[in-house]
Amino acid sequence: MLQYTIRRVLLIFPTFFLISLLIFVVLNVAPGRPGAGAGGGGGEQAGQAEQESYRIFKEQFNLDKPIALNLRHLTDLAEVAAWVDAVRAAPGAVPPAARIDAQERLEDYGLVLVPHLLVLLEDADPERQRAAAAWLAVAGQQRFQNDRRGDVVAAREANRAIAAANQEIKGWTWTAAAPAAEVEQKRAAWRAWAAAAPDRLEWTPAERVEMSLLDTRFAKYWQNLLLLDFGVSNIDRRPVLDTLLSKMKYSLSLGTLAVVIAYIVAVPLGIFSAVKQGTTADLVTTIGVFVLYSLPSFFVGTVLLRIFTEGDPLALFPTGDFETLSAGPMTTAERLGDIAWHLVLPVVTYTTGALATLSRYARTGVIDVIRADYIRTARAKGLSEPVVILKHALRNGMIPILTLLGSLLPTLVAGSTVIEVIFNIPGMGQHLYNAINLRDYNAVMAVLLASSVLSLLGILLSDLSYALVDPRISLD
Amino acid sequence: MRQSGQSTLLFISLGLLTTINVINSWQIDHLERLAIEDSARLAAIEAQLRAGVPVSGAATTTAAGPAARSAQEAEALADPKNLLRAPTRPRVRAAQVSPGRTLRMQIGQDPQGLNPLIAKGADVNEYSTYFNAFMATRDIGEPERWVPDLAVKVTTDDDLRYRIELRKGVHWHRPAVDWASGRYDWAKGPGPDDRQPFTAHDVVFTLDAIRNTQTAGRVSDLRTYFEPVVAYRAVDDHTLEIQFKEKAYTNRSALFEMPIIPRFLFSVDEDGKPFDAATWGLKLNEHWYNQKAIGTGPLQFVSWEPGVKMEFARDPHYFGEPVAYDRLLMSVVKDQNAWPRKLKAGELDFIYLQPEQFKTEILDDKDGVLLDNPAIKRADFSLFNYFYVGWNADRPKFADKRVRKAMTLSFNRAGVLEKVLYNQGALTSGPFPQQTPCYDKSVQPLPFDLEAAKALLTEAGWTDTDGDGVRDKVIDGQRVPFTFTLITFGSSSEYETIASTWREDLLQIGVQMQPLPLEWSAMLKKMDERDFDAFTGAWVTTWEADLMQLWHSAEADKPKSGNRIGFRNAEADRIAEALRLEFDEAKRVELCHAFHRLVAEEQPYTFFYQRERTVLYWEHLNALEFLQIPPHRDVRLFSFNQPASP
Repeated sequence: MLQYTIRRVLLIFPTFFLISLLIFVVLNVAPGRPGAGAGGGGGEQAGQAEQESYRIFKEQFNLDKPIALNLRHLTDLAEVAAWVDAVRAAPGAVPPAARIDAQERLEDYGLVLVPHLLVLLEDADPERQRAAAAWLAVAGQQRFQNDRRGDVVAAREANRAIAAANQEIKGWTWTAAAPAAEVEQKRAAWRAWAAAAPDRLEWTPAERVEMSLLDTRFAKYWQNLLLLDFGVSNIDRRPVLDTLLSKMKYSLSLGTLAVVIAYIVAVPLGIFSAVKQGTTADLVTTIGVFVLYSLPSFFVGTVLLRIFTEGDPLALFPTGDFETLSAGPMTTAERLGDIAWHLVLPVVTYTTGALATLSRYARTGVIDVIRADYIRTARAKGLSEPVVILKHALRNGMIPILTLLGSLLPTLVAGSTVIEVIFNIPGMGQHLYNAINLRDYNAVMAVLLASSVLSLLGILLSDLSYALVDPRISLD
Repeated sequence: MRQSGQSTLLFISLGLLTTINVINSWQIDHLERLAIEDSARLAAIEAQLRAGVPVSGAATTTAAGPAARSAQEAEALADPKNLLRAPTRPRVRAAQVSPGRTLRMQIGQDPQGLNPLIAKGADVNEYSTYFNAFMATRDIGEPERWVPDLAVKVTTDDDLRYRIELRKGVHWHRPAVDWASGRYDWAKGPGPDDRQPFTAHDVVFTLDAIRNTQTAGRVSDLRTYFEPVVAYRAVDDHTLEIQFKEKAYTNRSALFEMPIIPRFLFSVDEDGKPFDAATWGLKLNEHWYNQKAIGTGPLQFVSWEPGVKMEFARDPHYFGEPVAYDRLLMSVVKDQNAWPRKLKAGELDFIYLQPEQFKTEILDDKDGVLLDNPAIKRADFSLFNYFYVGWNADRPKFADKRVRKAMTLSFNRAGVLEKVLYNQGALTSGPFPQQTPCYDKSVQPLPFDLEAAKALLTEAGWTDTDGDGVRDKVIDGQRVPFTFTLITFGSSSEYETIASTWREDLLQIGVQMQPLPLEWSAMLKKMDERDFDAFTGAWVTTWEADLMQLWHSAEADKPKSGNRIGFRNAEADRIAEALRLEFDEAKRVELCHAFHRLVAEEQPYTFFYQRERTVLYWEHLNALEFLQIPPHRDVRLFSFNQPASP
């Protein structure tokens, strides 16, 4: 048992790693990019997307790095020259797509471009020299260190030096009309800058391998993850973990209530069906729960809202929300009552869907054991039918449905997007939906990773609980 | 026997425990209630104490009339050189002020933040007009007139160097922080309620932030307008000088409508320590106060719980006319279908109606009673936007204006507007809002006329030579059929209907169109790369006409520019440049009209319609009034016709 548990726990880590890689890649290759704005429906506002500021934004969120494999150090001089020429080409000479692509590469590649740009700086064409210097001022920029965690003071000190250095090299560009002396002086400055730290521009094979695997978005993400840093949202710039935790209370209250009530209703229903197996009563119950199961939650929710909230015919419940928004201060008891009153309809909606699965599990569980020898023995020794069912059959018949609890763990926390949107409950489901729409990668990752961890733990728990409640099952 | 005795004892003690617990909870509940009542009483006393100043203050301002909110303003407005002029009428009528009322509205989603310099989006821009004041604002009655706000006097001799005199005695709202903790004592100032004064240094700080390339968000759009700024300085606490490099009409609105943030709060971290000069721009992007709002406007920020609600309260120390109610509650309701339900249930005071809801609630409503409740009323207003179809002028097919005109003639815009968009708007023929003088009313939208379209296509050399029902033409030695792809905004189903209707009509004149619905980001990529024949689009416009970004040929060659269709026209360039430099209203209108006629002739876009919006509201609100200019909805104009809360 212990050995099995250890093996299973260890297996969680590679599984989690693969899950995170999968989600990360899918998320990052999906069309659209963060910070590009929503637009569309109601109309967009005319305005220029500003290059410099967007480049800094990309750098901050590692969006300038390749997703999982970085082969940029293989870039050769001809490629770089072609990009530089594409960006500075006359209008119409280069297709816009190629121009945008070249521009983005020159912005994103950073230091690996520097050796090639230094070669272009010595080119015979003065215009090419000028373009090379302009791109050197971008590619040669150093990145700011993270001064939010670790040695904050040292990081700030370093950032001040980095800012000064970046500011200095930004000045080493010139306009087309610049006098020859100025151009020569600035080119000399670049040469001196390159000579000052030559090792920074040359990479050993080992460094190249490291760069390929570790200088990527995914690796950077994991480096932060290992320090339990889920990053900040690129929408509101708050740590995504804080937001996530603040949403959890809503989904957790709704989910827990719904699951508890679903069990309270489904288990007796399942036993009833099992005892009356094959009768009309069983048939009616079965059809009933399957009809409920087949009704999508958005439909059930809307119908309930239509009937019970609009005052036409009934106005028994509020039209959504987690609690009354405009109310004054309330005592704890009043507040709990208020929340309960708001949660009636969402919980009912939640439950109708879960009812079928749970009651079927309960039914099968009881039917499985009801024919067992020991039940026949119990009946034979003259015990009444309720005692036989409730005391003897139930104990073993409920094993599958109890172990199912483990796998419900993630749904408790992850919430239901549909129900949360319809009933305007600001939980995790709604949060995930918004984050996806806004391409808030860090927020989406955090929610999905949290629910993957819970899924993995839930599966582990349900496997272990099998062995715990049923001595016949041995896992070793 | 012994066993049963034990269990009886157990039950009795359990019962006792439960009873004690119930009594205990009841007592705690009672105590809580008492505490709440006490604090309510205290708050009422405090409010009364404070009310002594602002209520009488408000009364005197209204008595003196809106034109002279202070002696300083009156004196400034008397100066003939002042670019700012007295407002034509006040925003709020004093008679309508109803204490104790809360205005409740819905918002479809949370804003990205509440720092108007960082957070992007039309919603933040609108909310910032509630809690913020600007240098100057456009008058409600005559939007071309600038009226004083934070600035009382703006003068210039050459339209390059502006001298601005700021209003005296203005204070920033009190930051919404936990003052009791003592952590924020550094933020206390000398003003009423420990407020910090608003000075010219705040404006300078804001300009620094705008021009710092590390800052990102809305500020990167603003930066375009402030790039031509050469110098700016605070002469003293209430005087500011700013110098532009080039003369441009847009400089004024950029300056007047710039959101201003306080230096005392945004230059420091949460413990009041100033940021490093090297990275302060990055720090501003993720500043600890960005999720809260601060300003000098009529409503001050109370709280924001993302996904739940945002609350504002009337600022008793606001320098202008106070709003007519005490609180503003914006609840976040993401499901648009819930809006009418919440209005009907009395949880909201007014809502926007979506187009589909417009059909179900208004067009299909036989008895004419909105939401089956006679106390619910309706108001409509026109938005500053226009919908269009853009033609790629770099594609040989659409380089010919006769072809573009034929496309417009073959698009049954009036029919689509009626059948698909339920007449929620008006057909338009040019790039200006129809309410502005720039729109030339003599230019009618082209009719729907398939015969005329056929004639134009034939004239342009497109004929069906091979008899397959599709017109063709020899281009560069090759015979090409007239087929094209129309990229449509895929996240909205109405476009699908529109495209298929048009497709049928185009087939009749021998043109094959293939609709391609794309999600916005995919669509934007195609447009940035100029990889399209035609697309559906919409622009949000402003009162002030500026043609450079969308229509100047210099923009046509820039990747990712607004001139995606590659429109190049020497006359258009001339008008766009002249309009930037023209300050005389009458001459500006002339230029606009000339441009309107030019695009009507050239048809670079097929202009479609300008959208309208419908609002439903309870009759306990006075008839709703909307601004002519964006953001149109201005909750400062709303008021109740019953004094007390229901």
